Amino acid sequence: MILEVSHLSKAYGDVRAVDDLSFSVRSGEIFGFLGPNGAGKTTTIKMMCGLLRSDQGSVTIKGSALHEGGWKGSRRIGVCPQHIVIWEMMTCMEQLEFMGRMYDIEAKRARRKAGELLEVFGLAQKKNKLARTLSGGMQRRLNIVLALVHEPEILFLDEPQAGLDPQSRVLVRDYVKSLAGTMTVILTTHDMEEAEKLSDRVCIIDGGKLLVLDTVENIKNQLGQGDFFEIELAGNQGRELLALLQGSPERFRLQGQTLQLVSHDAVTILPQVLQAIKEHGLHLENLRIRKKNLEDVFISLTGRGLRQ
Amino acid sequence: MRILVYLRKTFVENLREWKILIITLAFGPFFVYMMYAYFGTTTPSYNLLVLNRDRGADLADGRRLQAGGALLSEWAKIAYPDGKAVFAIAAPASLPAGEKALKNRDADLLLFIPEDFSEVLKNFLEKKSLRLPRLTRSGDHGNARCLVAGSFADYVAFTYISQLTATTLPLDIDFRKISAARSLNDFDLYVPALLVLAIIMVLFTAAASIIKEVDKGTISRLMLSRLSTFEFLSAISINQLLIGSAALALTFLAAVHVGYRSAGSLPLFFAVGALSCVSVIAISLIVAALLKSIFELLTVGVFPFFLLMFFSESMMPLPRWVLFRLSTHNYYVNDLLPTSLTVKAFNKILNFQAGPGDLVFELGGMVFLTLVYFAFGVWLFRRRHMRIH
Repeated sequence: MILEVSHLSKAYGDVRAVDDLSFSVRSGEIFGFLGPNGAGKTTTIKMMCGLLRSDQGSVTIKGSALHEGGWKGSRRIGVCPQHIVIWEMMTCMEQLEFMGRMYDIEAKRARRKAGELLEVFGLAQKKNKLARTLSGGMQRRLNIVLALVHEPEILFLDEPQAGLDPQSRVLVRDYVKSLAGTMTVILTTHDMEEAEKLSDRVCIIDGGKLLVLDTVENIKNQLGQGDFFEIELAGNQGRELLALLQGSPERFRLQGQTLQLVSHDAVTILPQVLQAIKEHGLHLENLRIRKKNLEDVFISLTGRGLRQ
Repeated sequence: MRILVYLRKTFVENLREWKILIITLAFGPFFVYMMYAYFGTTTPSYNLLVLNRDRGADLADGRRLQAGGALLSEWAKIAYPDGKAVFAIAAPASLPAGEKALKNRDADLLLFIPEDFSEVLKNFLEKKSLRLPRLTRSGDHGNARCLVAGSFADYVAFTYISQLTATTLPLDIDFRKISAARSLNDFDLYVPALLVLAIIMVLFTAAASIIKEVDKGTISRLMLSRLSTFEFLSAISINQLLIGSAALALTFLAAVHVGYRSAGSLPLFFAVGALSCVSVIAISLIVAALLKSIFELLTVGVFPFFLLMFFSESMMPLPRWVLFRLSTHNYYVNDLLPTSLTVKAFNKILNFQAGPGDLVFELGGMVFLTLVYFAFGVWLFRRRHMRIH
């Protein structure tokens, strides 16, 4: 384990932002750190990288404990904050070289690394432009590159894809994927699709507490084997249909106005459901079969969506 | 060395924020040229209003005595060594008109010569009466120019009357200049304060350089790189010292350009200037520690700027309240601001040829205050912005 979080807690007044959180991150893995807004993700990240002191608990990196005023290994981490944090009056190249040199990387090597990263992130053409003249998307990419220039062992990416255009999202996703095995990446997001595509393991927190931690597949399988089967009926008819299907061996549940079922055998069940709808004169508005996702897991654990 | 890396970065940023840099560098020279335009051309001239209602009187020997008119001529004649008249004299339409001009500060002093001025004087000369002629002086004592003009006007009037009446004044006053070789005009006396203004401007650039990192969140990147508070603030201080010294040099050159000449040692002047710059940077650390954004600096931050400007006597002389006495030297409440001591030190060096030995109390006070403010600023800044919360 490269990073271990043990019984971490942080409160702001009466609000417990992080509540007895414990988990470990393996070396070289991409670790998805998920949760809705206000779940405590950013607070946890800040404590993990040494920018915020915890009320209780500890964080250790390669066995070294975080301590007041910094952490022995802090120079081995890179942090891409949620908001754009760049030096607007410096060029892309200047600030990358500056950041590299702040980590005691010699100027030549810092420049070389900066050049490589600017190329990868599509900023090579803008390397001598002041950061303030870049578009919002480019500034976001620069924000990520600044966390990488000193070649950290652990990279914290806090909502790295927020505000990125679709093209840049793909670019960032591909880059993060390419880091797998060479760098430990801790990725916070509430974009479940991205998290599923990128993460080796996922940790979902809510209200500062750990809900689940496992591989994406294992977490999704907590909902049962098979695909997700969703039926939308007009008005409140979903409730009526649920009552009609009570005798069925399958476990249906109502999520909002949508009737949901996870099943391996949707093809067999579907005619029975359609028969019940027809016989009772219910009005079918939509019907779909899809793969389960982490959002479904979160809903099943908390009863609400990640974006609520 | 990371101090140098950060120094280079902040220096480049300052160069690129050229509008702020130009204002900082041009602030002192601008005020030098402004003050020169107002006060620097030659010696000051005082606006005198004289309402002469004297009717004159016929002396026993048949001559006509016009004492009011004669006194008016004496006031008009008094001049500085360069030949410029001390008074610019005008006649108001009436006493109320004259008083209105005083209130508007269009005039410094109003003198009223009554109708019987010559008559009373004649009776005194012919020993018919011991009564002396009356001269009425009106003015605003809050206006320093009124006091100076009154002093000159009185001197001329006493001299004229003593000559006319062949009486000798019972006191002989010998006035000696304390300035070096040259005589000082108003502008010369303003120059030390104007030079300090250039240094005070560093408060804004120094605080802005620091707060910018807090405001934009880039300080967290610096903290993650384990840049220490000492490294961070040292680099900014060195950079601001360069800017402040440049502003001071430009302001001094502007003063020289309009004819100002230093009586004292320039290296000593620049050394004191550099020390003063560091003291202003120390104050800017405290300001930066208490604020969180550039917006706050441009609003709340104006307060300490004006504190330094007004209470250092950069703008106007203030009453002096003694804080404590050390040996033969009084430290005043204003001297809690290091720039107040700087104005005094500059004045002594530039106008009175003082050497380091003459500045022991000023330099001692500046060093002490700089150390105290710097230590407090570093502690406060670290506590508020560079500490793990």
